Amino acid sequence: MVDRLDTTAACAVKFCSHSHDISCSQCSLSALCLPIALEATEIDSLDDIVQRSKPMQKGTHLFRENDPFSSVYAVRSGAIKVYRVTNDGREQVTSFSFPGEILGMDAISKNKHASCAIALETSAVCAIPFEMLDQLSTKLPALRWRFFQIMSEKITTDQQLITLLGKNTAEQRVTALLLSISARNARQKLSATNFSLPMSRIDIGNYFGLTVETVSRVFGRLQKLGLIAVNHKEIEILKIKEFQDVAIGTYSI
Amino acid sequence: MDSVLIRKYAAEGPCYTSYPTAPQFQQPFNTESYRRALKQQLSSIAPLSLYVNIPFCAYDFNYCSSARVITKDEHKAQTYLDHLIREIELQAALFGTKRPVTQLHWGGGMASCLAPAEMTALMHNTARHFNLLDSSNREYAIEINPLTAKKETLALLKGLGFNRINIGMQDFDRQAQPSYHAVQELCDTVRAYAFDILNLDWIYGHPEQSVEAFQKTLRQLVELAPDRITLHNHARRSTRCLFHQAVDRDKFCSARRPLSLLIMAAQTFIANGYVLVGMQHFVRPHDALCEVQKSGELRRNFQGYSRCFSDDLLGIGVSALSSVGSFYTQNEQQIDAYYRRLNACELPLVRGFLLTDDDKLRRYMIMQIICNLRLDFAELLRRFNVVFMQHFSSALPKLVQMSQDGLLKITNDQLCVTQTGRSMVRNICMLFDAYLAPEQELAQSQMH
Repeated sequence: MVDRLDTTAACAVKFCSHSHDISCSQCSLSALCLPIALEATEIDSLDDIVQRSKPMQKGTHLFRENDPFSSVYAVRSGAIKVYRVTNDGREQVTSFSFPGEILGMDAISKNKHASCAIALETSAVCAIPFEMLDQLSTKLPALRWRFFQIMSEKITTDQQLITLLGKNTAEQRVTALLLSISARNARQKLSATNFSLPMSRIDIGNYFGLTVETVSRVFGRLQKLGLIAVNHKEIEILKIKEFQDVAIGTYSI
Repeated sequence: MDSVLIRKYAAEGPCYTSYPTAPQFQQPFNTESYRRALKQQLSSIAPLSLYVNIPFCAYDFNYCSSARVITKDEHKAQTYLDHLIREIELQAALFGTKRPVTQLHWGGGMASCLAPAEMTALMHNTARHFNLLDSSNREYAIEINPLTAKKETLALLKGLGFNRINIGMQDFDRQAQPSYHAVQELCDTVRAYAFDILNLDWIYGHPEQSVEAFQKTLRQLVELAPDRITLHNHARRSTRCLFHQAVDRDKFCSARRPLSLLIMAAQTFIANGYVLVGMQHFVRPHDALCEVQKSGELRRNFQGYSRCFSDDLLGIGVSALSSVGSFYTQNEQQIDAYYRRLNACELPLVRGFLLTDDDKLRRYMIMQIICNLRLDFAELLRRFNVVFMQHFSSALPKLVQMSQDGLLKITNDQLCVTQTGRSMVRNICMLFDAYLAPEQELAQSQMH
């Protein structure tokens, strides 16, 4: 699979975001992860607590359900799937995280992780120890507000997903996901119409409560209508306007 | 409805969201006795109602003329929020953390103007210091503004635990008013997110509204099919009638001019399947408010009618009113003073009222009449050792008059408000109000 970040403007900056020795002030994603006005010295103090890992291989876990909570994580590259294991042992996908997004916040209330997170492709993440972050936020109000903002976005997204699952057709669900990925790409200054899906059809079906066959049928129908072109995981949205119409009741996942 | 009767009982009067009403809270207030009273019940597990006043708005509505700060300056809202959170900490230390919060209400200048992060922070901090519930018996309401609330806002509010949405509005498709289409979309979204109650707060009878325009708006309101409709009389700008200034709301609850409009509205709503619970609150016949009214358990506080069984209401924020035990209190009404008190780590109370035994008796009576539309004399004897016919013999001639006018039925056992009397329940309550100003007494006496 082509690594999106290697081929695009996001990496046209001096450093590749896979690189683990990049600081927050140099990171091209800081505008997403920290869209707040921090002074240079403040960014430095944040930098001091952020731990940057080497890239994770596809299929490795970032954390598992019931792991003790120590850090929240910011995705620098790749894609992470978050899922829970149901009582009868099946997997239920609850969200997908893309570069610039923060995950692991659902552990704050119980002090242990409430879900599992696994890399869908080679991914790099920053770990931010929560205790230190909490201390730092008392000194940096802007940082504290940023965290509440992330929490509210997460709450909103969850509610929208619940509504989407309750009300909408298979077409609406799948197009909503594709539009959401498109919007996240645009946010990273990547192509909004050409991208590769990091998750499998099975994951998409699981996430939306659809069978794989239904997901494939929807892709087929969208192709037939000339709204998208599909080549394995590569997607091109051909008619964005019509595509958006399909997804009326749109939401960001 | 008999128009002679309407004219006869068209006196101005309080809304009785409390008794005594807020204008009476003028005593020099002893914070220490209030603290002591609360300290004794620090481990209480009695249910509690919370009201959070958020007097900020991005728009200046020409109808909503409360003491609000019109602002698009986010920083200002954040400063206010920081102080709110400080007050939450101070109050929680007094109230204890065990009391289940059965009712939560965010009001003021339309709380939906807050940024998502601010709403999340406020709810998060409230939950840290108070015992918020997730049971379906909770009533967590927020007043939202159709001009600023978006789909995403509603998703967030649902996720934060709100289950009731109050949409405040005056009219459609006029200057600084939302389009009918926009409100309709908002109502659909409220239903899509499965909020329990959609309440429209409608400010009716502003001076430039023609009868035809009024009727059109009425039809549109019915089409929106809200679960509840609350009517607020349009007051002059300076009277600051709406939403959070309970003081002024009480003073100017009903002016004479729009009474015919009110009757027209009531007829339309009732013809479309709504029931008048009392005091300009219309609900569906299967509404929980009707159920608890039948069983005599409907409550009323500064936020209107409720079925939540908490005796105490704690108001947080600038100028917020509280009703706790035998006390009524009000916070500082000026924002600077409010900040100053909190920065000094003081409770921001500015005035209060300690109820006497007579106040408590009258409060019970007025609340029974205004909420449950009946007053049981045996219960009065049991609770207060008062024989109604003796104690209130001076009110009897007026009661007999009202009985003849068909507003109420009075027997040896009870006083009962009739269907006709529901629209004039305020007039009945006023008979038992010991604090009515002389000019209002006069208005009452002119009725006869």
